[in-house]
Amino acid sequence: MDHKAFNSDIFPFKDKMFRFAKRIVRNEEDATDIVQESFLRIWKNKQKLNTVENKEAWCMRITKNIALDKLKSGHVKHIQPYPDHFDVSTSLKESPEDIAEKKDLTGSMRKIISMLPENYQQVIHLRDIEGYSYKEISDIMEVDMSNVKIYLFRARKEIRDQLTKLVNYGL
Amino acid sequence: MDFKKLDDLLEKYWEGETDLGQESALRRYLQHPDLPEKFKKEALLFKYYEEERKSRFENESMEDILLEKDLVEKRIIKYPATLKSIRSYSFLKMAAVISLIAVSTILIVNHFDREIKPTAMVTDTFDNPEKAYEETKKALLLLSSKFGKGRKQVEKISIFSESQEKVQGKKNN
Repeated sequence: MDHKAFNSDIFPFKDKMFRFAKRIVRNEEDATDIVQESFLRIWKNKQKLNTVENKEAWCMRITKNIALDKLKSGHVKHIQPYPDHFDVSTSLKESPEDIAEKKDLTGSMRKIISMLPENYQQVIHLRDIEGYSYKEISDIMEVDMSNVKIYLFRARKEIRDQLTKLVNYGL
Repeated sequence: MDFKKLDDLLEKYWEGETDLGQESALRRYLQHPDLPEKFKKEALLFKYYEEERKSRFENESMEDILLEKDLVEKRIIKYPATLKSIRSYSFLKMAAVISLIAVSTILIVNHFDREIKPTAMVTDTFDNPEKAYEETKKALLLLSSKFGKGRKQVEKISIFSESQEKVQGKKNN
């Protein structure tokens, strides 16, 4: 696989890899390093890509492993809530009230999800944000499909409970 | 829009029974402008997921990454003096720690030495029997004078207890 093929077939996974890394290490700077390191590792092992059944899931798995290694080794700068992300083009069209409300909502949702166990957070991210199938999630997370379903059910149940509290009682 | 269908779909979603197609349909339904209040929490959640999907990785190609990594390497090679100063700084820190440990050890050893040694040394009298006799006599006199003091105190106590018994005897009578 040459640079051109790599850029057209593998590099488009970059945003999903970045978001997944950011979900695990919770800061953009480390997530950027992790994605760069993942691509370098994938490039070094590019001959394996021909034998891999699902290239995207394989790249996501490498990203996850590097992110978890970094987290375990304590090389992550600091875990903090993500800085609020706003698309400038969208923000310009919105009123300050809309932006404040959105910021508040984003913070509350982020808090609810960040309170979940690590496996639940990963499965929610991969399914509800990235739209992966159970099989793909199972490949990425390296767990059985039955476990993926259990994690997803429990994670959604917890989110539902927390959301009900937030909407009804403002907690 | 059929909100009953949305309700059923959401129930399936929370139970983890929806497929990817149904979840995609949910995303569309929950963006409906006339969505009833009862779907507020799901709408909030899906809006948050939508926001999260906007996050992007800055490098545009593999060349960008290689270029960036290469620049990092060059930066390290360009400033060897900085690396040397960092190394010598670490060496100084190590030397300071070793010195501190050595000084502490010396101080502790000196302190214990002082505690063990008696403050006034008695010169040896083994070779001089007369001097030995004198020293022994002095020691015994000292002991007896202290012992005498103790006896006087005991005598005082016995007088006190005798008086106490007499007083008690009167009371009892």
